[in-house]
Amino acid sequence: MVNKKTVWGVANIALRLLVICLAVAALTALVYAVTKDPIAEGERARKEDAIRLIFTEADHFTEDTSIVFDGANAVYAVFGANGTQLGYCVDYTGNSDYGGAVNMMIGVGVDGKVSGLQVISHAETFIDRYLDDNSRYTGIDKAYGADLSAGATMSYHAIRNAIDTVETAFSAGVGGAK
Amino acid sequence: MKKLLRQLKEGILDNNPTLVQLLGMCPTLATTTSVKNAVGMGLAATAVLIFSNLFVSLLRKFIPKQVRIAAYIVIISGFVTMVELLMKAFLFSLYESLGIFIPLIVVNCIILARAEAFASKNKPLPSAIDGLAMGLGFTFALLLVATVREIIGNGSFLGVSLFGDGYAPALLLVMPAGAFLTLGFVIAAVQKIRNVKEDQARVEKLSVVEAKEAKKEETV
Amino acid sequence: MSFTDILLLMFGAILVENFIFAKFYGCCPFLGVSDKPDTALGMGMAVTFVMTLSGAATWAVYHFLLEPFGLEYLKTVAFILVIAALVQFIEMFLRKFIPALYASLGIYLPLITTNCAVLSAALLAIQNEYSFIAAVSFGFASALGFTLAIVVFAGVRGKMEFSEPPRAFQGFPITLIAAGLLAMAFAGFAGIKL
Repeated sequence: MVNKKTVWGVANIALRLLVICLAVAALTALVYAVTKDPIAEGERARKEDAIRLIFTEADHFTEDTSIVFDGANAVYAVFGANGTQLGYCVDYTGNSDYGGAVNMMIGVGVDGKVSGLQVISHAETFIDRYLDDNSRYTGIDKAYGADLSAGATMSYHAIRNAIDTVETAFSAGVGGAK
Repeated sequence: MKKLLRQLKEGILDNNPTLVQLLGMCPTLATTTSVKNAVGMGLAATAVLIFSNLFVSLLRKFIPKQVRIAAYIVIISGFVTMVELLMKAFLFSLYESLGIFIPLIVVNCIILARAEAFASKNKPLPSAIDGLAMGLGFTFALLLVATVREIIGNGSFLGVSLFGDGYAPALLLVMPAGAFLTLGFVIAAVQKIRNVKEDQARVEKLSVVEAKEAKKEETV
Repeated sequence: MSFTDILLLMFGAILVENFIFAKFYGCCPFLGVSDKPDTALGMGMAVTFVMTLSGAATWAVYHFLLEPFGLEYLKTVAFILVIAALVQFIEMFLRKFIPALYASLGIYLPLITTNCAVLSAALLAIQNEYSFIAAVSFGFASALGFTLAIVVFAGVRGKMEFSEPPRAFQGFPITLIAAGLLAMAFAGFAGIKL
C-alpha cells in the first residue's frame, strides 16, 4: 500500500535531514581544519615544557626509537648544552585502576632511576592532591593544581604504577637502555 | 532595546533555566568545584546555546516536524564539537579541567529545551538573544553554586586563597555529596525568595479586592 | 584486558565510581523519575538495555567508521546519533513485542537519549581505550550502578513523603539534600583497590 505520495513524503524528510547533517558536518570540518595545527603545536609545546621542567639543564633532545616498552609512546634522550647525556624522558600513558588515561613525561637519570615526573594531560576531572605528601621520589611535580574528589586515589596509583613500570623497564636494560 | 533587556532579565532571573526551570543539573553539580570551571562551563554552554538557537531559527521552516528533535540534536552536537575543538586549541587548561563535560553539553536539557520551545518558533535575532539570556542565566546559577563550594570547601575564590593557611576547608563541599547539598540549599533559597514575592503579590491583590469591596459597601 | 580486569572495572563502575553519586552522569532522570520504586526500576532496566547496546554500537562506529577515516573529532555527533537511533529502535521494538513495559515507561523512554549517562559511558570507553568486551561490560555495569542509585533513592523518597519540610525546601531542594546524604554514603567506597 505504499503509494507514491508517502514515498516522496518520507524521502523529502530524509533528504532534508541529510542536508542539515551535511551542513553541520561541513562547518565542523572547517573548525577542525582551523584548529588542527594549534592543537598539535600545543601538545608539542607541553611535552617540551615537561622535559625542560624535569631536566633543568636540558638543551636539546632526540627521540630514541630503540627503547620500547608497554605504555611508552616515545622515549627521548636528553642532552645538556655541552652534549653530555642527562638521561631519558619517557612520554608515558598510564591507566588508573578504573580507567582514565593519564599522559605523563617521566624523567629517568643515567642511573636508571626515575628522577622526575610531569603530568602532561589527564582525562579525569580531578587529580590527587595528596600526591606530593605521599610520593616516594623527590622532584615529582604536578603541572596542575589539585582538586580532591572521591575518585582521587585512582590517579595516585596511576602515577605510582607508571614510575614502577618505567624503572623496571630501564633496570632490565630494555632495548639498549644504558 | 527594551525587549532585549526584558529577555535578559527573564533568562537570568525570573525564568532561570537551572534555578527556576530546574534544567541542566548534571553540569551544575559536576563543574562547580571551582568558580573558574563553573564560569568556563557556563560560557561554553552559552556559546553553543547562541549558535544552536540561531541555526535552528534560521532553519525553522526547513526542518521537518517529524524529525525535528533529531535535527536539533545534530545541530547542537555539531556546535558542541566546534566549541570543544576551539577550546582544545586555545584554552587547553580549561578544556582539561572541564574534561568530558564539554561534549556532555550536547545532552544539556537546556539547549534542547530552548531549541524546541523558542528557537523553532521565533526569528533569528530574538532566538540568539534568548540563547544569550538563558546561557547567562545558566552561568549565573553555576557561579552561585561554585562560589559557595569554592569559598567554604576550598577557602579560595578563583584560585586565590582567602583565609590563609590556617583555614581547614570543609572538604565535603568540593566532593560530590557537597554538590547535591549546596545546590539543594541554593534552590531552596531561590524558592524562598519566590515564595515571599508570591505571597506579597497575593496579599496586595487581596487588599485591592478588599478596598473595592469596602468602597462598594460605602456607596450602598 | 583480562577477565579479572573486567570484573574489577565493573565493580568500580557500580560502586566506587558510581555514575550518579560520584560522577553525576544521569542526574536529570535520577532526580525526576525516582519517586516510585517501580518506575525507578523500569527506568533503570531500560537504561541498562540501552547502555549495553550503545556501548557495543558506539565502539563499533568509532573503530570501524571514524578512526579509519581520521574523523575521530566527530565522535560526539556520531555517538549521540547512534544513541538516538538506538532508543528509537528500542521504542518501536518494545511497542510491538512488550507493550506493557512500553506503556509503563511512557515518556521516559525517549528521554533516555538525553541521559548524560549513556553518552558518558560511550565517550569514556573510547577515552580509556577499552576493548570491545570492556566497553560493553563498562556500559552494562555503569547502567547497573545507575539503576542501583535510582532504586535506592526511590526508596528514600518514598519515606520522605510522610515528612513535611519547610515550604522553601519542598520539592526539588529536599530531594537534592537527600541525594547528597546518599552520595556521602557512597563516598565510603572511594579508594577501594582490590
